[in-house]
Amino acid sequence: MGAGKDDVEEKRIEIALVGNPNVGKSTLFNQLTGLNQSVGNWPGKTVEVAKGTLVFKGLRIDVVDLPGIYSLSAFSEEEVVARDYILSGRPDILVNVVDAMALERNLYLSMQLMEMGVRLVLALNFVEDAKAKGIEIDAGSLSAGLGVPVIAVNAISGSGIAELVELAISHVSAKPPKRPAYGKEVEVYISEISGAIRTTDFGIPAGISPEWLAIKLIEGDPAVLDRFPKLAHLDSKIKAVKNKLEMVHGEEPAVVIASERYSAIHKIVRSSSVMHTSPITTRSERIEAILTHRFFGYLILLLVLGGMFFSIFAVGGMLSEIFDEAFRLLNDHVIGALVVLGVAQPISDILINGILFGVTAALSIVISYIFIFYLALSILEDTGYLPRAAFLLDSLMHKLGLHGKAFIPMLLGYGCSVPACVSCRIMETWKERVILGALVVMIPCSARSVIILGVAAQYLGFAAAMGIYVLDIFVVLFIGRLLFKAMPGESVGLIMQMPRIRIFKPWLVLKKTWFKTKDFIYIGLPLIVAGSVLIEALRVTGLIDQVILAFSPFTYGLLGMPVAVGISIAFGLLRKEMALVMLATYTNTLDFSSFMSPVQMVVFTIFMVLYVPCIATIAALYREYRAKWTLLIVALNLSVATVVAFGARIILSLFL
Amino acid sequence: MFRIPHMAFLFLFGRKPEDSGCGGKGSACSTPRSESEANWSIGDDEKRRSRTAREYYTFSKEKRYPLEELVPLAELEEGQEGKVVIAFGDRKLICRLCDLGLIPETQIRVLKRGLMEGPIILEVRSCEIAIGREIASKVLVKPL
Repeated sequence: MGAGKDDVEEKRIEIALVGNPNVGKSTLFNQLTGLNQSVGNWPGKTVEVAKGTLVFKGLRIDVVDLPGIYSLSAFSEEEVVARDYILSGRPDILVNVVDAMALERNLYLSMQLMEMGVRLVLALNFVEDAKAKGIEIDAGSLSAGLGVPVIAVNAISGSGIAELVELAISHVSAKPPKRPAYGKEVEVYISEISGAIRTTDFGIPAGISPEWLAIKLIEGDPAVLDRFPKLAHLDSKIKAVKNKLEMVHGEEPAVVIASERYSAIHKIVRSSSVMHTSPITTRSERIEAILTHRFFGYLILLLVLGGMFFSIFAVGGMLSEIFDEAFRLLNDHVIGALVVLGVAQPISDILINGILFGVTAALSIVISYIFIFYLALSILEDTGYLPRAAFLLDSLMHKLGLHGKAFIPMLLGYGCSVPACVSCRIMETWKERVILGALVVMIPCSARSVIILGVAAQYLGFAAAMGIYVLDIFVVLFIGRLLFKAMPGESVGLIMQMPRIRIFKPWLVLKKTWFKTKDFIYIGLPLIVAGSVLIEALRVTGLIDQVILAFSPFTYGLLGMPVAVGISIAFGLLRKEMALVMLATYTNTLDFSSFMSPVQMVVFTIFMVLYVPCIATIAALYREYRAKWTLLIVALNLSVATVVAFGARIILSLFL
Repeated sequence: MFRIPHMAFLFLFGRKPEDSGCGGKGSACSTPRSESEANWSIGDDEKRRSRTAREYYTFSKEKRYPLEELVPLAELEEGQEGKVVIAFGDRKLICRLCDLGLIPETQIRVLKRGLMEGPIILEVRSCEIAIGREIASKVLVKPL
């Protein structure tokens, strides 16, 4: 991207994309920059701000994709990010992406942007879909009503995008649009306060509109006062205004302002769009109705999740067998070659059992399980199915003191605990986030699924493996309930937008899957190889036995497992997918039944599934929850794993 | 009588931010609410309804609709339409509802009610929103 930089250096502008979640903002971003960025279809997906560059007619344009937000009230992290960025004055112009099918709600954000006095163009997306539903919007009169340039685009096909960029560039030095007027009396109060802000020096930068500050102060936005504490001098004036507003409207000032925005929007929308009186039921609406049906909805949910996990394990299992076969062939050839070359035994052990085995194991897990899991998840995300599943599972999640959205991190947890921990952010309160964080790390991620499949399913049958999954769900439910009762704090209910059901675009899904999988290849592969080499080196030097012996009171004494599994516990901390590989390397056999009884296998699997998450997950936990809570979550995990595994040992040894 | 201090948090659409003391203690704002939430979670429907109703009755005599005509949003049937009149809750909740277009005088339609205590899908301003049952019982609507 650095090429040709010099000749366009002086002409450089910054465009930011803003809009509600699920309006095709990220798709538009991809179209504009070609740079890859994850496109999500569940609310609040893009937390980080993505950037890209576009060269248009010799002009270098930096495009910033802000997180999807409904408003600029600065209540959620996304809103703070977006608001701070806009206030920084860096963007030359904002492109407000608007969903034509939900025009009124989308314009609520546009209204707030106009209050801020920033330059703005509107990109009207999904115009065709709206037409199919009987909503016809006249971009010209919408633009006239709002006082903002409006252009229809199709983010998916790319039509109208070049015109959009042209329009944005041509308005870079235009005057910011004037927002439509609110009710007469509200306007009087706004100008009263903004006048006071203008005439007194409150240390407010020139770029920030006094009008916007006035509106925020009337709304009672605490973040504005935090940022400009000198505005507190206006306190008595604001209080008086708020009291007057409240007396007349009988509503809280924030609600009065919201109503003013909506009524202005309503007027504009009514004059610029035609809504056919008999709303046509589209095919996607019929599908939506079935997906949330109180009977068929659950049936479909069961089929979807069942199908997803079945295909992961069926296809994944098949693929990993192919890998194992290939490894065996390669192994023989390499051993032959090494013998011919006359390489010493310890070194060839490290080469084969360390590097070669490590690479195969990593590839076989990444490609067989993680890639397929993310492929399935991306499809669910892009079709808009996840919010439906969250709707169906809301009452179940309430039993855990959480709500429907918590289902999404939990599902992610079956793929990998790291994104699952990070996605716990979508919960509104701290209490919910902590509970969910503690629960998702106990859900078997694909690496732990490998242990379940490789030990329980392989030697004890499919039923035993399923039994362990079910047991895990019960443990999660029980711990969730316990935490909900024990932890102070409140939990907020579910408020979630239901995006429309869409047909996914295969290339977008593949792109997204690749980006999620990439991290595992970059981070996981070197770690696994390094770990394999390390353990092989320890084994060759004989040091390994000391390490394992140190674990023996726990592994053998308490849980009655073979002493050798200490290696799995030690290296499972590094990465869980290494646990089996390490055990196989250490015992020098792939047949676990040769040194473990069925009971021991069950205890081993249960312990491995529940115990302390891997180092990457602990890092993610630390980032989200800081040291104290991370420590508590890890301690909880370890104790739960020990108790359940010990319980399983006692109970099973009574029967078997 | 309308200016008694804790009218603030009970009054239409939540408490006021500058509200100096909800009856003296700093945390008093949330205490009665979490108490009522605790009541709700054990499913004491009768108590819940009478409490919400009492709040409304006490603090909004001059409102547009007689109390008997209002029902919690949670009690609308599938397909039934209504007009939002009032919502109870803290500032954050109220602002979220405003952001999604659920302000007083907004017409809504219940599209789907989840099983058991499951959430409700609403049509608001031609978008679909799912809200939890407990939030839906804090929003009073006038059925149409």
